Order: sequence, then structure tokens, then C-alpha cells
Amino acid sequence: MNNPLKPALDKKTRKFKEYNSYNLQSNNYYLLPFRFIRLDEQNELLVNEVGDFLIVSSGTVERIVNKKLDKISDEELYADLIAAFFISETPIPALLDVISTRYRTKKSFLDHFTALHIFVISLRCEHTCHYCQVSRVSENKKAFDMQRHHIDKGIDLMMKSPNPHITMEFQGGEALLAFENITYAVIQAKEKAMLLNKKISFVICTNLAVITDEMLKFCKEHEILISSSLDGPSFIHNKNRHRNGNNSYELAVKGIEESRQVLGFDRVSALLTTTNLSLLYPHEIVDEYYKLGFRNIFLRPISPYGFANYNERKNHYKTSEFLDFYKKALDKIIELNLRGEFFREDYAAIILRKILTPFPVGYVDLQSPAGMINSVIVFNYDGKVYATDEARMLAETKDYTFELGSLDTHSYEELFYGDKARFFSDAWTNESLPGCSECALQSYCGADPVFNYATQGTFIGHRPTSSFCERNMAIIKHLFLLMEKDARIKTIFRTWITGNN
Amino acid sequence: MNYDLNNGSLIIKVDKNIYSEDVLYKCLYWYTNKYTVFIETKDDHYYSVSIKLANDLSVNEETAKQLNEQILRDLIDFKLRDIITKETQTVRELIVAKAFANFQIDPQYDFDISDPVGFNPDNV
Ligand code: SF4
Repeated sequence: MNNPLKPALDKKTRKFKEYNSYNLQSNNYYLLPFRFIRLDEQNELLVNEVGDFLIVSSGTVERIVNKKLDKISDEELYADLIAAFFISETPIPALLDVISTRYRTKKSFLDHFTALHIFVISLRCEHTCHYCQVSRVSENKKAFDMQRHHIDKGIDLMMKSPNPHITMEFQGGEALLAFENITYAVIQAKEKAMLLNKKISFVICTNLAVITDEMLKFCKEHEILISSSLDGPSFIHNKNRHRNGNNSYELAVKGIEESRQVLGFDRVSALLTTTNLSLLYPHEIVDEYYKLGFRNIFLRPISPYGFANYNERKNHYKTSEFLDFYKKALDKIIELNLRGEFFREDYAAIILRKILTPFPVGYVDLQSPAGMINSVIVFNYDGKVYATDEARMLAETKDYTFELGSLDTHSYEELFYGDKARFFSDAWTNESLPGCSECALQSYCGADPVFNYATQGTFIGHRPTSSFCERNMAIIKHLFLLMEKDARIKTIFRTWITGNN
Repeated sequence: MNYDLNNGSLIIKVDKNIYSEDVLYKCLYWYTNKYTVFIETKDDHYYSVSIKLANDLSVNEETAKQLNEQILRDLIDFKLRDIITKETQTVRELIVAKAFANFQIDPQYDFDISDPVGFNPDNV
């Protein structure tokens, strides 16, 4: 008797075919675009055009490319390669549209154009940090604070961004020294954003030394995020961040606590600046962040721009020393996670999100096309407009290469789509840069013409001697190897991108 | 691959029938951090590649041997990359062209999306 349920049980899904339905007779398969790199002596990493990866044993790529795969004896590998779009049984893959859509998703950070608008609200500061590129100890507000007409024009330009969700970030010097300008700018920007139906977020970057209750009240009222600075325990922080009284650390910790109380725990973040001194203390720095209640840390290398270059001895440590520091700190962080504590390293989390999810990451230093102009723009205290924060630091050393124009004289179109922007665009996609174009890590990495120019003198740069390349290649490979060697670490890494413990 | 040591430079002959100029340049590009590399066309069959330490120090016998082995391995890798790049060029162009053709902004839905099995797409 016919079983009435049979047809339903037999019904094939539309998406998945039985293994046998693939042509098992011939060895004719076609390559799809992918890149590869040797992770170590035993493993090769294959990454396809949309960032999906496979780790295979050494020698496998040679067999794939030279069409030596055997569909029967290499059944599992063959199926993986087909499923993950590394090879196809037809010259044009049947699921080409799916791959294209995935590609589009990976680049969707471009859809809305500039989100982050940095207003350098004052160049004045009461700290004299040895690595600081830009700030001035001065009472001269007229010379070093952003003038109101520049604030107005900056807000007008910001409102022209096609992006429905914009961020206005106040930087310095010490931004809070010009707090009256911040209150003015926030109120103006909020009104205009409301009229245009745009969502706007505000961030103040501050060392917190001069924060008051009144300022915090304003931040609470306008939902302003605080991005503070913390370089580690007091013996590192105070050595890096000079101020009268040698109490930068104490004021930062007090400021973080007060801000958390008023604004909420998650509304206050801290940024680490790594110096020569920090390199000796990876564990102590992680411990300090943990002790202060942070559950993440961003292990950033020091910027190579502007004034930082002048203090050779303190700041010109080698990339390899930074990598050593990074790996030790990351080990410590993983150890915390293995003990059941959630604690995330943000640079790794950005890269892992690119590796483990189909989505793009809005992080300006690791994008292709680069973050400059496409995602970030800087309105300087003197009305000049720069392509990135680093570009304005370069300008403080009298190098105006990345100055796009002035708030006084240039229109939105001239600044954002002008000849200069177009000129930079030649070097802002790693898909077309020498060395990067066939690099397997391309979709997890980025392009940074400003960095190339500042460190190597050309927008295109030279990958074999680039510290950007050396650092990213080493960190990305390290993350893959960690996941490959210990499944527990892969699980931890997944919690870093989902936020679920 | 046979090699010579001549005045502190490593000299290798690369067969043109096996490795194209593209492959040779892409491979040796990565050696320009530490070495000065000269590529010459010797005759119809070979390129002559001379590799010197960038700081004018001589390449010794031990380094020459290792370098030669590493270059050979890298040449093979870059040849494989070249095959993939050339064989997949049309498909790559199609993927990118299709990705950005007929652009239409996805409709924005004004409610939370969730999945019956509790997978929250916003968290991925
Ligand atoms: S910078 Fe280096 S690691 Fe990054 S894509 Fe380019 S070659 Fe690869």
C-alpha cells in the first residue's frame, strides 16, 4: 500500500542536492576566484571572493588548481569546495547571484557614505603627553578653539551626508576645555537632525581631568557617549600622560566612575595608547582594565603620525615588538575567558567579525575602499577639512597633502567628491594594490593611503616594508591559528562578535 | 633550481617557459624588504635574477641555499595564484558587476526581526 506520507518525506529541499546528484564521472571542475596563504608548515588558508575560508593541509591548493582532486577519494573536501564557492561544476556557477549578493553585503558599509564627523572643537589641552601629535597648552581660545561659524558650517555639511545615522564626535586637544562650544554644537545639530529625520549620536573624546557635574548632566540629557583614555596602571598612565600634579591616572579613574554613575556603565569607554613603556606590561594593562570593570580593551599600536615621530626613542618601537606585546595580552585575555569571564579584545573582534560573519564592519582603519571620506571626515579647529583624523595630525607637521579644503570656501561636493578625493581613490582599494591584490587576507584587511603616505611617502605604499601589512598579516594569521588549534578559543571568539556570553 | 654565488649576490636562472614575467615580479616583490633584486632577460629561455642584501652585505653560502629554496617554493605559489587569477577573471568581473548593478535600497522594516528558534539576526 502506498504510504500517503512518503511523497512528503521524499521531497528534496530546493537548496541542497544529494551528493550523488553532482557529476561524479568527470574531473572537470572550474575554479572560482579565491586566494590562499600558508598559515604554517602544515596548513594552507583559502579565502574566496566573499571572505569565506577553508583551512586545508599543505599541498592541497596545488591539487585543486591543477585539477587533481578526485571526487570519490576527496569526497569531503570536494563537497566543501563546491558548497563554499571555491570551485564550480559549471563555468559560470549556478549560484552566481548568491555570490554577488554576498559580495554586495560585504561592501554595504559604502551604501550610506560618511557616518563619522569629527569636530576638533579645541586644540587646547592641560596635558602634555609625550606622544601627543597636536595639542597646545594655551589660554588662547581665539587661536585654538573652533569658531562658531565653522561649527555651523560643519553641521550643515554633516547634514548633507546621505547617511541616515550620523555620528558627531568631539575631539581635542582636550574637548571639554571648550565645553560651551560642545553644548552649542549639540543643540544646533540635534535640531537640524530632527528636521531632516536623521538619527544622530554624540561622542566626546576626553581625558576626563576637567569633567564637572554640570557637564555630565548635559551629557546625560543629550545621551552623549564618553570616550576616555586609559593607558594602564598609574605607573604607565602617568608616565605617558604628563600634567601638573602628575595625577592624570587618578583623575581618569575618578572621571570614569563618576561618568558611569551618571550616564550608565556602558556609556563610558576607554582607549589605550600603546607606548614603548606599555610594551613591557601586557598583562598588567589587561588586569587594570579588568579591575576597573571594563569587559573589553582595544590594543592599538601608537600612531606613526605627526609629533609622535619626533620622539623616536619612546615611540619608534618595532612592529615585531608590538606583535609580541599583542599576543601576550591576547593570551591573557583568552585565559580570562577560559575561566568563564567575558572579556573582549576589540581589534581581534573587528577582524573576527569579518572572518566569521557575512557582514561588513564599520571600522575606518580596516576597510576597502578605505575609511577616509567614505566613512569619516574631520573638521579641524581652524576650519580646514581633512580626510581622516591622522590626516589632520600630519597637517600639524605642516604636511597638508590630505587637506580637502576649507569650511569657509568649499562646498559639500567640492570636499567630498572633488579632485583630491578622486585622486586618493586610486590607492584606497586593497583589491588593486600591489601585494594586496593576491593576498588571501584581503577581505579581512584594509587599505590606508594616509598611513602609507605618512610612513612610506607614497599613497600606494610598499607592502614588504609596511608596518600596516606586517601587523595585520601577523594578527590575522595568529587568530586563524588560535582557532585551528583550540576549538574552545573559536567558541570564545564567537562570543566576542555576538556579545553573548 | 640551480644557483650561483657571484660577488656576494645570489644568481638564479628562471625558465621563461615555466614562470611568466608577472609571476616572477609578484613573487620577488616580497623579497624587496631585505634584498635588492635585479631581473634581466638573459636569452629567449631564461631570466637571470640577481639578489643582493639591501645593505650591501654579501649573501653567504648558507643564506643562498635557503633563499634559493624559499624562492622556488614562492614561485610555485605565485604561479598557482596566477592560474587562479587568470582562470577566474571573468567570473570575478561578473560577481562584482552583478553586485553593484541595478542597485535598489532594501526596504527598511520598522519592527524587530526574530526567528522562531530564537536566533537573533541582529546579534550575528
Ligand atoms: S596589507 Fe598586507 S595583509 Fe593586508 S591585504 Fe595587503 S598584503 Fe594582505
